[in-house]
Amino acid sequence: MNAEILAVSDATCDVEIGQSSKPVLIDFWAPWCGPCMALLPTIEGLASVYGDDLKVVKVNVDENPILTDKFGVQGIPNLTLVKDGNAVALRERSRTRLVEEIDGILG
Amino acid sequence: MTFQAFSGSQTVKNRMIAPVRAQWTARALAPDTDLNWNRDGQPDSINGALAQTQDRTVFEQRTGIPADLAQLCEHLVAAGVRKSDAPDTAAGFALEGADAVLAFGIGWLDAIRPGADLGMIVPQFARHCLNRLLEPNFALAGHISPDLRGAGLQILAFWDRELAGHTMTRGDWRDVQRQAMAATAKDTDPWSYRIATFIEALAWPVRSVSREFVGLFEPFLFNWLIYCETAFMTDEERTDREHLLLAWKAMATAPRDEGVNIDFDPLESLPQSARVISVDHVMRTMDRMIAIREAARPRKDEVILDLMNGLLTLIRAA
Repeated sequence: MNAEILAVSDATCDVEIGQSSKPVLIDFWAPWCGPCMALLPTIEGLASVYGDDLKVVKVNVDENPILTDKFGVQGIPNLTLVKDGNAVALRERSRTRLVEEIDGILG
Repeated sequence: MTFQAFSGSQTVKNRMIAPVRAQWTARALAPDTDLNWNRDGQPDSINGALAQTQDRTVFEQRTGIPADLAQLCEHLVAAGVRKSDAPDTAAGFALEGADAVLAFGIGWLDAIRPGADLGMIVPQFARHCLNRLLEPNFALAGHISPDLRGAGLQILAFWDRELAGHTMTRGDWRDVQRQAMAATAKDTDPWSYRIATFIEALAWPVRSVSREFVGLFEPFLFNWLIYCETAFMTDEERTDREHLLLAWKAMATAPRDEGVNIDFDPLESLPQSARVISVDHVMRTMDRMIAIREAARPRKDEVILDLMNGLLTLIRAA
């Protein structure tokens, strides 16, 4: 059930996020961040739940300062949902609650 | 995904386990849920040493064992041992724990049949745990509301149908997820929060829970183990423990800016919780809490050993 999460960089964000025809869930993380690593299985679980309806990507904040700054990320882990050009920071952290929150935004 | 433990070879199994057994017997490995191997300033973990890697995928390639299962087994060991600094030893730390708990560090590896596919052990163990917590004689049964129990029983029924080859629809799961979240929202019992969040998070097809399971199980087990301590507390200490649990819940559930920062004091309306979480209170009661933890150790070992035996049974049957 594990899904591969696409790594997006400052160089590829326009294509992978800006031009995406689907809503995009961005996981801002860093390898030294324990809570980010703990959240990874949940992100993979989310990718499996939504399949082709949602694009799930991850951004290493240490390596991609432009993208991190563009979305105003102040702390990690940070989950941001981008739909129709609008970015919403998600507040929940369990798969059950995240699906409720994401479904509420996607409509 | 299918697994083949130790590439189906007893020779490979012996070759991989022998050096880990020697290190574990010498107490030179520190049990940890994470795969620790050659990390700066950190001792190697049992599973890190087994596959000589920090990487889950490499671990699975080298051992033929699901990393989820390895992490779960090592988490149970970590939960049952006490690690303290011992600068005058070669390892730099000392481990203390019941013999049977320590024996599981290698015992679960010894129990694996070379060639066994252990891919379903964590889902089966998840079912074992959920069933256990819904039993009337579960230690915390009195703290589980009827609504929460109902959601748990529904999840268990769905899992059993799934394991029997049926597929539940997304709509079926959405209903039980909402049922579980509603039960959590209504619940005010200080001891039930971590049980409720555990049940709520398990409301998915059992095979898909495997990867997340250890992270979900850790706080649930912690809650269960600290409940064992209440048998050795005075009434006042038990009440303070409940205020502490309410403090943790308030901080865990406080609305956060971008999911990170809390911009108000979540304990403002909980003065008793603020009192028991204060440094002054913690320092004043520290000796007493250490004594309670020690007194409760046999009860906690009993819980951990029961879970370890459940896992061993599943592993031997695979």
